[in-house]
Amino acid sequence: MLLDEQELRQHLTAAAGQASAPRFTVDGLAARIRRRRARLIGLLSGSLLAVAVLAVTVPIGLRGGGGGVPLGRPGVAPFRLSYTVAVNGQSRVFPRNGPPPTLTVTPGEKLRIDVGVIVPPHATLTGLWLGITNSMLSPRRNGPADMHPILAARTRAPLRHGVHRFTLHWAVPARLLPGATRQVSIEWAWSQFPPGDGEQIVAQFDVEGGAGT
Amino acid sequence: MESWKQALAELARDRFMPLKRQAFLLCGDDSQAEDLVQEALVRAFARPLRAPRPGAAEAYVRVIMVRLFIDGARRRSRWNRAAPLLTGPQTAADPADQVADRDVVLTALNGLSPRQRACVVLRYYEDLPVAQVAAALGVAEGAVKRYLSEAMARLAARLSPAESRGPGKDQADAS
Repeated sequence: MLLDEQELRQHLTAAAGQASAPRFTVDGLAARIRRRRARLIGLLSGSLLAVAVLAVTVPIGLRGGGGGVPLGRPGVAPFRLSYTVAVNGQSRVFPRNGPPPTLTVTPGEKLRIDVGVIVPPHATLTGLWLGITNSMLSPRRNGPADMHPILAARTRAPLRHGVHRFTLHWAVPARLLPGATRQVSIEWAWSQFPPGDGEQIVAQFDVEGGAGT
Repeated sequence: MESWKQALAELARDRFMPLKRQAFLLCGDDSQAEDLVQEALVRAFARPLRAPRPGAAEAYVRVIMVRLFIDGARRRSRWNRAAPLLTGPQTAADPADQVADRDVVLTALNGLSPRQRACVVLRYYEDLPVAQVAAALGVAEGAVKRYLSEAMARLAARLSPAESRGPGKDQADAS
């Protein structure tokens, strides 16, 4: 049993003729299209905004509040500096994501601070500075801006993976008033792409208050 | 005037009715065809980065229409399978469907699968070559030929003169 194609075409044309004229108008359609476009553009811009927010917030989140987690080469996990601290021969615990150790000092006291900086694998530091800061941390690729005095610096040879030990000597200024604070801070820079810098407080010193000073 | 509005205005001028006719053959129902054409037009022109150019809009809208029809038929098929479970076995046939089924050609087309129906409409109503039908449906040319062959066999069973004469012819022969 065969069906002639020409005959089928005639059947289809006759059947299609039963369709009524479209009831929609160009203006009505254009309004629907505009609404759909606005929704699509809204979704698109919302997605782009979300991506932009993530692109900004994720690196900031990884850096942490105190900083110190610079981003490495794309595709390489961001590295973080770890370190050990000992003041006057006594080791101070430095919890990984917690606040730095706090010590009470008296004006004029002489301190010997031993810091071991641990550079993670795949990271190379082009500069590293250790010194005293007054609640201000402002790293710069060419050196710290708010570190007085700078007690140790390594800028000539890059620091690669491993432990790098520094011994710092600092006398608490006699003019500091009770309740004043100072910090031993570490600031570092790297030239890997993207180049950057980081900073972190190693230990905090609280000047003794109510001790007759 | 924006380019998409210009393309829409061009279509509106003289191509809305042919689009509606094609949609009617696909759906077999006037209101469904109306919805199908509108949705295809909205989808075609709503994409800010992929709106059709003036002159190429009609073919683009037709492709969207066919794909919407096939997707919609798939959804309806799933719903039809689930509906008896929700409404119970006492569901009666819709009288409106029976009225619509009076038309022989539309009834015959209703007996085809959505892809077969789309192939028949594109090939024999729109006179598109097999390659373009395949491109519109997103399938291989061989698949289109198979759909057309199966569809023609089914349609022949309903539309051929021997069948349409039916009992009348038998009676005439007997007399």
